[in-house]
Amino acid sequence: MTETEAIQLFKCLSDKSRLQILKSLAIEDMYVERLAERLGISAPTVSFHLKKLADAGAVTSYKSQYYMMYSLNKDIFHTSILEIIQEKSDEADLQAKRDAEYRQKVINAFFEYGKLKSIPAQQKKERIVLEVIADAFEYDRIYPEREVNIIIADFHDDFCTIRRDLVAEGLLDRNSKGYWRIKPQK
Amino acid sequence: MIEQKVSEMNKWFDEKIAACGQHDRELTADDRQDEAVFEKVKGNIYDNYRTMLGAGVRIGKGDPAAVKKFFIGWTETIPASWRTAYEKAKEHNDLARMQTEQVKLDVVHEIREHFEKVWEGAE
Repeated sequence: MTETEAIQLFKCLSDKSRLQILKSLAIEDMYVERLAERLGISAPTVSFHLKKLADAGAVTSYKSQYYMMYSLNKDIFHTSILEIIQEKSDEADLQAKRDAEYRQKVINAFFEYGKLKSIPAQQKKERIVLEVIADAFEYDRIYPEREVNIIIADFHDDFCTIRRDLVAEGLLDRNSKGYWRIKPQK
Repeated sequence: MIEQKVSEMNKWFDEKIAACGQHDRELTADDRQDEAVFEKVKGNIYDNYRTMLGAGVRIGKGDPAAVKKFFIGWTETIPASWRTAYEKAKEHNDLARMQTEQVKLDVVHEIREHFEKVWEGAE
């Protein structure tokens, strides 16, 4: 379900008459006049709502003898709200661009000629700074602590804090043999 | 004589507008937004035709026949585009649009019928 379709569906459901129609159709398939009778609204109004529900994919129709029968499209209601939220947003590319711009802004503000001017107090900004420093480490290689300190000292004098924060942020890991760079999860 | 007819029409319009407003509020409170919009639309049409009746009375200078010609004319010209839209929607089986246009056409039909009833014998 695309974002546009989800919005259309949610808008469609935020109406008591339409919800009542769906509740009726959850019991059994019905035609317009029967729904109108059950819900106490006019047949043209029911048709109006059914059209909106059909456009949103919530109901389907089929011909049965003289009547146009309407039924609940159960498939759409089996989709969980979490699944809808987790769908890739139509805005994803735009958001990624905004994220990249923000990241560059932070880097520009905190680095000067490759040196870290200060450790950001804000966690979100510090994370970006630490990611830049982590790039100085290769994957699949174990670094002794001394080498780690030297690499970090190229960026900032307070290598102890940064080394500790790199581990805390999950960018580096360590054991008795030394430190290594953690591969980001896909 | 004509003043009495105009007054009767205005009273009827006022009652209709008030009823639409009441239904609109009730439907909105009951989370039936689209049906509430229909009531708003209906209320606006009654209001517009009340204004047109007032204009007709001024332009017709108290002549009931002239007022009738003016007013009935508007009950034909204004809904013409709604009728076209309804037919187009029908062609495409767009039931939602059909209902929207039908609501408007029904109101004008009702206004015209009531006007003719009230105006009877005025000329």
